[in-house]
Amino acid sequence: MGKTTVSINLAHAYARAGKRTLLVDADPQGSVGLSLTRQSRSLSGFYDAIADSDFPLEQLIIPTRLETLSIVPAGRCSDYELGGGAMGVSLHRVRTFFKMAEEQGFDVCIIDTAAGLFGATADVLSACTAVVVPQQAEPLGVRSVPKMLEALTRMQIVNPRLKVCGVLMTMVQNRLVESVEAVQALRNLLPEKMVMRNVVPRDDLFVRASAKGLPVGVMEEGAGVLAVFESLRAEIDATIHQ
Amino acid sequence: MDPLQPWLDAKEVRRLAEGLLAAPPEVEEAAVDAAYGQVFEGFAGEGGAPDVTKLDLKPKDQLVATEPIAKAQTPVPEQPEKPKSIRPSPEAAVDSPFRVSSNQERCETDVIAIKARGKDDAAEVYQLPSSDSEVADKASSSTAVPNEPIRKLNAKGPFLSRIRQFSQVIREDLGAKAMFLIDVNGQILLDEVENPKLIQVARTLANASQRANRQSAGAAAVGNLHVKIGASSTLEVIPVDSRYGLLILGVVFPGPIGAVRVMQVADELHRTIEPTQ
Repeated sequence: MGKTTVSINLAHAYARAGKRTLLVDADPQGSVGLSLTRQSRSLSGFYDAIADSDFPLEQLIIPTRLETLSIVPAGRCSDYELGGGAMGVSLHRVRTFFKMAEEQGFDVCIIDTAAGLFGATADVLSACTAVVVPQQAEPLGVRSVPKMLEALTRMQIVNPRLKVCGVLMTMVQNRLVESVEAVQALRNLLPEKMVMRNVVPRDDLFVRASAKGLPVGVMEEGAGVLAVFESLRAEIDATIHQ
Repeated sequence: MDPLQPWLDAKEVRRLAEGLLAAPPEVEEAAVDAAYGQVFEGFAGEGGAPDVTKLDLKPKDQLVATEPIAKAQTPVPEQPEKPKSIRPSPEAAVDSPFRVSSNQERCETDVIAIKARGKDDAAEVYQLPSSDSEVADKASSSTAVPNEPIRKLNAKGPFLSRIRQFSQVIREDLGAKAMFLIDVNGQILLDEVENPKLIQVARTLANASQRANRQSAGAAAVGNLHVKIGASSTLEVIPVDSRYGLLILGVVFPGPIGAVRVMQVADELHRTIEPTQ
């Protein structure tokens, strides 16, 4: 459980809070779309807008049952998917995309990016306001955090206003010593604000919600997870506006 | 057992993290958009080609940051070439951001006799030096006191050594990312940028300005010539009269530095070039 699950449930939390929220799938594998819509592969989406700046955003937006939550799937065409893409190539169009979303009246735009900090992910980070770094709470995973910090440092050169909300520990298993130690080791290593106060626990509900194409928060037993993401939303808001 | 400490340099990681948490620079609106308006986001490419051109700030083994760059409003005659793909190499990021080029080494012995670089092999990838995180910090602090005089250099030693000291001062005091110094014929005296197209832009701007008689009195009368080459990169072009004739200084800053700063930089450069005056 990582970026996509966090993105979906965080977007859901923002939407529940009354914010007009746009969840954008910028992962060429289209994970958000695959999670929430059955026909996502046939839909136009983010990468179509990047390939053609005249592509109207309205045609990409998929409404959901929650009035304040809309989705833009990954789309069908992607040079990034084929060749990886050079960082910066489509930065201007990514910025235009964000601007269009703002003009459409969205309060929050959450982008689920692909792993790595190149191609579209780099362009998104070059243009966005803030970044949350989901990181699985296991020893091997946390060892990669320094590399992520290095990469984000470079991204801040391109986008000095990029706010790093911090590392969000996911799949935390309180009954597993190694998982708890991984979280604690990262907290000991990094400044307090760099590791987010909220953590996302490992929970079978995420799998079940994914199977149904739903955010966990709308599941019958989802109140606990819902509270986690509500708290996470508040923490992110506080960090961005501090 | 701690799953992290044995695997990394804790001090360095913490330094990185603290840098990331630092407050973003407060850039004045006017400084960001001077002469380009609110909607300007960098230069677009043409037609169906990738819509940004990228330039190359050497050293090439340094990392990262790319930005939409300029195919030029007016001054750049060339068409943008297809951008090269770059991949970050984190290990390279810790190295010193600037390398002395072979041309620069030759400058030590003969300042003016260096020939211009080839013109047709311009790389299109714009890479920022890894130490730009530090530079950004400096830049933000420098914008806080925009008109405070820069340090008096009193540079000593051979010409190129003095120019390098000057480069260090404008990086530390004004947040410059890189600079080059050429003469009016385009011959390179010092080049930390190593991008022929940027040098050509500087020459074109400086010569056009000269022709318009906007700066015929040397350092005291320099104009405010700058061109935005990326979302957070601006090339300031500062021509300075000297005993070697007109020299053209090109400096890449995060944003325009304003006329007062340009004058200060020009004055300091003039003193650096001709320390006895």
